Amino acid sequence: MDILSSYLGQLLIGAAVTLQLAFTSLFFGLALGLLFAACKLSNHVYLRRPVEYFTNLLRGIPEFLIILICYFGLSNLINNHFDAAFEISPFAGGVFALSIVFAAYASEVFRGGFVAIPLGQIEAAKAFGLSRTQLFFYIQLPQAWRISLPSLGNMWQSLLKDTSLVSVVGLEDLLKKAGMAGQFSKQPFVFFMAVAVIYFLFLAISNPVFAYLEKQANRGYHQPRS
Amino acid sequence: MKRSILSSIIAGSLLLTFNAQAEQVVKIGTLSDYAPFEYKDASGKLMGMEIELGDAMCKIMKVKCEYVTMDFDALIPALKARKIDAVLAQMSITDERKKVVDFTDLFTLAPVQYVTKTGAGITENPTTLKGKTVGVQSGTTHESYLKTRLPKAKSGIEMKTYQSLDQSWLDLESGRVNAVLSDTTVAYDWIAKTGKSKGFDFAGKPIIDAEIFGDGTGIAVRKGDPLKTSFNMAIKTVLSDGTFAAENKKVFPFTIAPGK
Repeated sequence: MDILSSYLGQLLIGAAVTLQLAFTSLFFGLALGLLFAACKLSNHVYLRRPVEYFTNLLRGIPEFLIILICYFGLSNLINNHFDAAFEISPFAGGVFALSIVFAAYASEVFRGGFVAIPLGQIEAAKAFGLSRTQLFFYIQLPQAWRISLPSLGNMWQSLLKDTSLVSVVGLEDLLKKAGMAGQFSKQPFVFFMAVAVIYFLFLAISNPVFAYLEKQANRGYHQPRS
Repeated sequence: MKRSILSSIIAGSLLLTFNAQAEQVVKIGTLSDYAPFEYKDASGKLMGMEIELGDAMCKIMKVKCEYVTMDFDALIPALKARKIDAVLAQMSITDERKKVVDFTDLFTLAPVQYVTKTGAGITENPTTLKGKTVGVQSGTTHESYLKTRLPKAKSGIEMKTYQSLDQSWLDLESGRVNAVLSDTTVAYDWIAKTGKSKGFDFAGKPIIDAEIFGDGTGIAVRKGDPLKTSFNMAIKTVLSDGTFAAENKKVFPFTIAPGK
């Protein structure tokens, strides 16, 4: 236990890296996911098809492989084509990979949310003379958000844990820090257990946040049965 | 908290930067979990025998060195992608690796040995391992030794690969593997710190197979990189001025300096 307290500072630094990765990826992932969903629902084939293929591709490849491709492949590709010493930091590469994967899955969640809105509402909105932007922000987005939230909460939980994959390119996240401390002390299980507790705490904290968001999104509706 | 999240998002997007070329900085790729060669202490400081020697060599070469830590599997891809300029991570000089990178002269010896439960009756002789399972770290010469010299169909030896050596120690303790094949050096660190008290020790003699294990480890650089010449000079210096011997003595009771 002595060894655990001496390495606690390192574990907390690792925890901060994990949270940074997760929040940054969530931010870009949600934004991109919404964009992908919009493309998939578009009437233009040239917009719809490529995004459909791209998200299928992303969902079909192991996340670990995508991280390797983004970190090593992408900078190689850019350097070979532009003859520059372009550098992608492990953090940027990791966030990029996690974000596009999150976005690929989120796009389907959002698409489901938009499709679930009864067509009659949209016709009614048009009949009232709402513009396209008004229609999107007042009618479609709030409802799609409400419908998507439970799935997004689910995805957030898995994203938080997927961040540990990024350690392969040298980012010292929570799990990597535990591995390093375990290798030095030769007591890996002490650290694995400590890290499991920290991950669990993160999720225990984020669950009430999602419950609150759902409550907010459900204003005006009957309380969802849970 | 909200602020720090936002700032980290901004920082994250700004990290995509163009790097100015032609600085006299040598980026050395290494590991963060390979005690006693390279590891991080409780304050997060990178240390170990190869880090001390790396610092000494950079001083001799009159360059500024920066260490970049990553997984062993990622080192050669990172070197080729110019994310690092050299690999100092107990990398054995082998013909296979020589196809993609250049190596300096011999830097350390890297004897290879099985570790088993004491009295398990296993030695360096493959017949004693028939029907047994051996754990190795993936991407290492130990893995290619088992794959090419002792394939399962011929030898009856089952191989299990692990992402890190620690995991193979855990499985050795739990009995899922009967032996672990690794470098004598890091195995010594494990045996001394915990293995011995749990009844594990080296089994048999070190395995000699220069074709697969090479003669020892060197520093890897990109093909044709003149950095190789300066590293060779620095290696010669630390070996002859006693720096190497002093660092060696701190961690091992045996010498891993390459023979004259």
